[in-house]
Amino acid sequence: MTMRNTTLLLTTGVLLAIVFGSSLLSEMSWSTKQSRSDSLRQAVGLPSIAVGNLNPMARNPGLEMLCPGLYDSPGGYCYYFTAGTYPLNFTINSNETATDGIK
Amino acid sequence: MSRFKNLFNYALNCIQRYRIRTAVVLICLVVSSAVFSSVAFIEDGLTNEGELSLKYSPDLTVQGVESGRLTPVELRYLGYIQEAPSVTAVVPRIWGYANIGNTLLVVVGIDLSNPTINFAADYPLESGTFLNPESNNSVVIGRGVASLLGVGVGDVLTILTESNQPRTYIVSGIFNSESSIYSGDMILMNLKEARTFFNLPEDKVTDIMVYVSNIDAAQKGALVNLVAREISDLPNCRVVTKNLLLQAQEAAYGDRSGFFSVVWYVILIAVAIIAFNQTVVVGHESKFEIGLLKAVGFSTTDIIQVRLVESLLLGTIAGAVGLAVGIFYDSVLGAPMVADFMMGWATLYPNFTIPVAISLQTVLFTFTITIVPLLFATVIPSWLNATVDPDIAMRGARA
Repeated sequence: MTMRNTTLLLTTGVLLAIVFGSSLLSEMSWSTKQSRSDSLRQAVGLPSIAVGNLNPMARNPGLEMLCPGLYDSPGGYCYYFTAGTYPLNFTINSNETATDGIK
Repeated sequence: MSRFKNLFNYALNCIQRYRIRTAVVLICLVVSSAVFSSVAFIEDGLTNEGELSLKYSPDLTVQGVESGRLTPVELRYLGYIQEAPSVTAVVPRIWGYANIGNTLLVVVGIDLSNPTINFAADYPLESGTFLNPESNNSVVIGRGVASLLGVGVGDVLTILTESNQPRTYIVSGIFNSESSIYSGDMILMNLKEARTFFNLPEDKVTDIMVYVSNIDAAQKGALVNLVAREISDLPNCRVVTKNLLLQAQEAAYGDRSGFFSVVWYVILIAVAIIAFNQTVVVGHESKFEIGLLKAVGFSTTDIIQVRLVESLLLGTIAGAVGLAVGIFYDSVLGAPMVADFMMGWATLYPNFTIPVAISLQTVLFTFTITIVPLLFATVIPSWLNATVDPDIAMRGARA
């Protein structure tokens, strides 16, 4: 094997070691963070993070996350959140009543 | 083994011999994999942080609704919710946005009698102390807020409330930069002060946090839904579960990185076309060489193997360089431009650390998408070259 080929393989090996080493360190650091108790998040209880106020990821649980922009324009409000929470797997109360099969 | 070693060496020599092809393919793949990995690492980091917040969020959040719009919820519901089966804690919370220092910040008022708050716990504070239940006007602020307003522990902060009345607070603590992703834009105070700040009536709060007893995960979902159904019988109420928030968060970050993914797919297709084109060009240039190799005993499979090993090496080198660039760009440079897009308005806060997660899954996926398209782009031209008769190949190359 020529010197050039050896250098090429060594450089690739070092780069691979850097990439997989960084990944390993990152995975370990996140794993430690997730297993550690977080007293602040527990006390505050806000489900989101400090990213994007008035952007799709505002802290308002549910609504502002999915309803950026349309907010208050007539008819443009996020209608699928008005009668209940759309993906929830339970029947939400509504103003409909059924008596003897006739609404 | 010796045969493969020789083919491997020959492939390495080919990479160096066809410099223009190697450079073109490497540059294209490095750029595309660096862009992809950089965005993916930030997306993973934000999702991890979001999931961490959700882990500690209440099982259910009860909000008020009027005319389909969110409003403060009535405090009298507290007793009713408390009586729902398996509910262990019901905690009122007041929070909202305030434009302070020309920046939108989050003001949070927590009930200090909340049983989930542990005052003996170690809070992520850079300096000072956490909220004191006996002190009314103390606040704990995020690192970003402290930098923005230029205040430290013990300083007096005068803020205009929503009713345009000046209100004075003493900064009792500042959260550290490690917790900035959660607390960077936060002013934390007790519930009573937050009520005054937002000028909320005594009988209302922003939302009610509901905690359901901890049972095994399989049963918990059904139990939470049962409680949610019960609470949703209350008038002018909306119930949001933790699971729904998780879905919303994943959708929000997925959408953002989705824009980049589309651009990246376009780049990848372009790279595959360029790689294909370069292989065809190299195939034409190397006709004589292939004819010679076949004349001295190389089989069609050997030649295809050489080209595949070349592509495998090129893809691996490009993936490794691209990933290393992505890691450096995110972790050392702080991902300029990409961070602006992914972090939204959070870029307004000073000293904001971007969460980066270099997951093994993303690393392996990046390698897959730098190697596999290159292999596909190489195999057909090399097969077409390798199947030509050596005599015709050498004559054709000379002609």
